[in-house]
Amino acid sequence: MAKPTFLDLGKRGRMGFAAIYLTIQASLVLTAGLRPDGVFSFQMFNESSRIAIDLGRRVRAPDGGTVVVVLDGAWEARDESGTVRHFRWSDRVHDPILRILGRPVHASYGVAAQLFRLQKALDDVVDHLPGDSETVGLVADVRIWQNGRDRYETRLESRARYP
Amino acid sequence: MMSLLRRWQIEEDDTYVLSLVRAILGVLLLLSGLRELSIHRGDTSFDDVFHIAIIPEALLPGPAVFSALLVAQIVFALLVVVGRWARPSLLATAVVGLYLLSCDRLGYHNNRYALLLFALLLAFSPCDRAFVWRRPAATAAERKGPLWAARLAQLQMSIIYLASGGSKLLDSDWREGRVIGDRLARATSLAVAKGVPAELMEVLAHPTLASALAKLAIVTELFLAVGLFLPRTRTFALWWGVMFHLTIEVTSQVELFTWLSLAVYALFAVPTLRERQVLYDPGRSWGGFLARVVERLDWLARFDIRADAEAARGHGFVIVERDGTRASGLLGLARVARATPLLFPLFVPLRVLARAFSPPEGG
Repeated sequence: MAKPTFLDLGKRGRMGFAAIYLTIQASLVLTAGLRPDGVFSFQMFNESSRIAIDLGRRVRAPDGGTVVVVLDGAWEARDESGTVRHFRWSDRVHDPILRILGRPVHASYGVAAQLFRLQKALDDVVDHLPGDSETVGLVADVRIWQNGRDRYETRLESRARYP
Repeated sequence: MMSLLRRWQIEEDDTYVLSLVRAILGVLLLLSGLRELSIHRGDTSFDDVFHIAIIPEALLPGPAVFSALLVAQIVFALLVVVGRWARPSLLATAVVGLYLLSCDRLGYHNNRYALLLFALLLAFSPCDRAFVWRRPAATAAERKGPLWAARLAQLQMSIIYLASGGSKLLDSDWREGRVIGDRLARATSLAVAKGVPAELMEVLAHPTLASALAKLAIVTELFLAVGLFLPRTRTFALWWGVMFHLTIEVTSQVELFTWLSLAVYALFAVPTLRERQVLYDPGRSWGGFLARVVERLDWLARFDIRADAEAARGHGFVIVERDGTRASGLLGLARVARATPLLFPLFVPLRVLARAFSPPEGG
């Protein structure tokens, strides 16, 4: 018979462990709505939705405003010395859903989850564009088919960038 | 309620099945670890890729530490499989796994989280008293241990069903069948590739049937959350749950969740071993054949198998239940299926056939 270890809890320890464990689990399940992607809440197969992401790049226009240039996921921009440099969305975004551009993919964990993640991805990528002195923001036009319904669209914009 | 809690605190029984579940969990942890390692790029740090950390960025590991943790996960899983330092390894793999899961919510999947939770709970159970590599088989007395953590693992399974079924119940798209109908329509190619007839998938995706299937799925999950715990419904709940998970396995991609669920189902088996008997007539080839089959498939050690022509009373074999009732023929086969994991899916069909064609023999 093996000697008791710290994993062999006494009666009071068992009760305490179970109380803490079940409280945490119940809290995570009951607060699922507070997390757009519902992590830690076991919402299995919550949607059958699809999304298609079209990426654009916001640059300065001659009139002083900005325009959105449609991208296929890659672009060229000059750095401060005028050298042309190459950038790709998938250089930083490796996620199997968010890195796919231009065609519908299953919105795992639901549309809200993927839009939440996409917004974070846009902000992350514009924060990591060293040598791009032209892009002032990234734009994602998202086509959404929510649970088999007709398509609708929404636009997400990264936070503004001042290269 | 208080007496139930007291019983839960002090309950002890054979940990043979619990140890078997631990070994299977080890295999699942190993497969999960190998998959993580196979997609990992050793020189990439979290700074280099888009991620959404749940924990503060300062606590994220560098590339070398991350790689080391992935390798450690595999070592822990191997120890869990062989049963050596299994409990500390289960705890370590759960802690490391939950930490890695918290490093990037893009990598979160319910099935991976569930696997880690079951690893955590089993770490607190005496799941290392059988199925230990190069250790002589323990006696029944040596295997006896507290089951409180195993019961908590059962409860965790119930929480998963309740959370999943409850969230679907509250979602009108789910209740009306929109989600399941659209999912089935688009999962046709995957299901057909796994052997499901295309015509069946088309019928299932029809709005009327999809609506009925959605309600059935919700009722199933809520029923399993409760039915697995009630003695009167447990066997049917287990069978229905097995069918439910196998259906999901062939129509969807759920990584290891099907096998994890089925492994955890074994925890719902009565812990005491060999309370049933297979008595067979060695002079009849059919009886001997069945005894050999049961011997090989009796992974949960439910049966005491004996050659006893007199006790078989003219039958090739007789199954003697815990309460002393005897059954042979189709009903006997149904009772064999009821207690053997691989044949378990046949239990209800055999039971229905037995009821139709052969009344049970009195004990």
